[in-house]
Amino acid sequence: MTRAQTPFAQAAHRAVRDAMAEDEAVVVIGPNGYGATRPAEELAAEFGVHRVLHAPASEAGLVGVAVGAAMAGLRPLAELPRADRAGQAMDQIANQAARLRYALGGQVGVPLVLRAHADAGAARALEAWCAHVPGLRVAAPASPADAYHLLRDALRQPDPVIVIERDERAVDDEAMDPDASPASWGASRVLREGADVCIVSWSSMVRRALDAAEVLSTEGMEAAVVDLRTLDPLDLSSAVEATARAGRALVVSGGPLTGGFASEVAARLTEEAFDHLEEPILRLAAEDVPASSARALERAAVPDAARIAAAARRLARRGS
Amino acid sequence: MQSADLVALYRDMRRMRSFDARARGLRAQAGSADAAAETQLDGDAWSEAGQEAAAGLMRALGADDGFTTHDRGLGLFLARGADPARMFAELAGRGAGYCGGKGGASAMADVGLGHMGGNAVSGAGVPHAVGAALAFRNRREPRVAAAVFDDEGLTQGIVHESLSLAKLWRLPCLFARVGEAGVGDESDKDGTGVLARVSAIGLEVERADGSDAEAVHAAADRLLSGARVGRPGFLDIRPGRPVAGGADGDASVDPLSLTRSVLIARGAAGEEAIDLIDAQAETEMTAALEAALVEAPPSPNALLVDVFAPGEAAPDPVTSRLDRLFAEAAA
Repeated sequence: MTRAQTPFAQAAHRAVRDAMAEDEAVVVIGPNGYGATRPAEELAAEFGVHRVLHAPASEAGLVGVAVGAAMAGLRPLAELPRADRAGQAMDQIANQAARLRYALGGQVGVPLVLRAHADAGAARALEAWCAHVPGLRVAAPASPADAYHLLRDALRQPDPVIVIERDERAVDDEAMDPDASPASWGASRVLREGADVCIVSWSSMVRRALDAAEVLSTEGMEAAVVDLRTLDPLDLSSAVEATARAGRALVVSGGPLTGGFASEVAARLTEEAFDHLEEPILRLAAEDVPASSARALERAAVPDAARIAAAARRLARRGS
Repeated sequence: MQSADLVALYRDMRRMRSFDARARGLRAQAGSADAAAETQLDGDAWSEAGQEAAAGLMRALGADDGFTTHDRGLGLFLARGADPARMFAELAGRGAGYCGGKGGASAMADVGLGHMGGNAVSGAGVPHAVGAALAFRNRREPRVAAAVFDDEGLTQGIVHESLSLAKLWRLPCLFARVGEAGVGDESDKDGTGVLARVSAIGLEVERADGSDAEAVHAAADRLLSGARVGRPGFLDIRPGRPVAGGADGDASVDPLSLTRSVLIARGAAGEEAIDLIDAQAETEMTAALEAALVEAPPSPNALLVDVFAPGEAAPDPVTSRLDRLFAEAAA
């Protein structure tokens, strides 16, 4: 089934195309047939079939092959059109790709990029799984522009990167301009200023945080919104600054709460902005439940703009 | 096969086809603004049209046997005796579905019917059948566990590991690959490479034409006899799948058309009797779909149920955690 490509998917596809044109070492390895790799046919026509490899549904194998190819000098982009399939490849991601530079005493790097495309609700915990692995970089684009720039940047990194794409409704903040880099690799960005509360998020939750901030603004409450962009490297400088200014911060994650990445962000903000805090850092995340296929339950499981606004409102008003 | 059995098999297949057409219709609506589609997630319920001959395997299984399927196993579940209204309800994300709406197209199952789960992940359910066979064997129950999967499954390492374990431990297992034209290993289109690999593991191998339900039944029956005494088998159901997109395809390889002509040639059923079966299947599935769509989505309370066993504490809901935190601050 072919679906119209979203601006987010178009931007990511263009990033792959531009990276392949710029660097001959870039090769794409992905399973046959599914949505996110459909443009693979165009890439094969332009760059040749030896640089666009269609694999059967052998996720552990194809990521493992990408690891070896990266060690031997290629720059493989391994595609997982369904992010929940990352589970099958997890040994190669976490125990092999992320560890080999260290385990071999720095003799080799594994500069592969894994592109995991997550439909709504799929693989909610993937960011946290991956961010917990030393040696693995994690990018979480929230906009078409970042879908482009973070993928381009990822394909220039010396170490393995997983780019987790959740484009259910991406931030359409700027026209996608391949020549303009809105922020450098590893830098977070402030999407909205506000002195009453700071909302820190990443990936598809950024759009919801911005919607929540709009609602709060109509009530006379100004929320800063910080998009982390990458979880590793993790740049909390703008979040610390915005939190210090507001004295209160809400960290919003689309993954389950327990053991999730919101906890890491909250802990670090507490350590770094403690002297400025009027209230403890608050986390808002998905319920600690597995994914299901019932839309009503999936909607209820993950924070939406209304729930983000409600939590931010209570936090901003507490003790004042 | 006895006439009455072949008629019953045809009825299974015809019901599968009628179910499939409506399941795909549901899928096409998913994500649309249509209120009826509002409750279900997209990306489920692939077409199974053309694969109905696998129903022969379901008729060969005993009532106590167990099985797992893949993401095109809805028809097999139906052939096993599932209630189509509850299946449609599950597809549409309704609380009345077989898994309360949580499993959807790919996971839906009824353990009471021996079905231990479909699976969205290729090959992931195959080791579960091996484990079930281990349980049956250790409890000295005369039961077989079957794993049904597709060509995508065969490209997963875990499937080959499962085949080896079943052979190593001599488990009562039947592996059934339902072939799909144009999917899987492009360098092994006729499947001889697969059979060579499976034979090398030491499994008993049978091959059946995927448009001939009777042949599938006979081959499954032979393999099941071996499996029951600890000789796991592998049934390769060759691709039939002529029914592109579910429309009427090449009648010479459509399993329904083939079985229909066999029934007539043998005098097992006349045109009129078969037409009646067709019409009944259509009527039954239309009514089942209508019944499913008036069901409600799962109750919001279902969100936190079944994460852990009944009686165990449910996860702390986000709202009560926030209420507690802010209440403590106010106190």
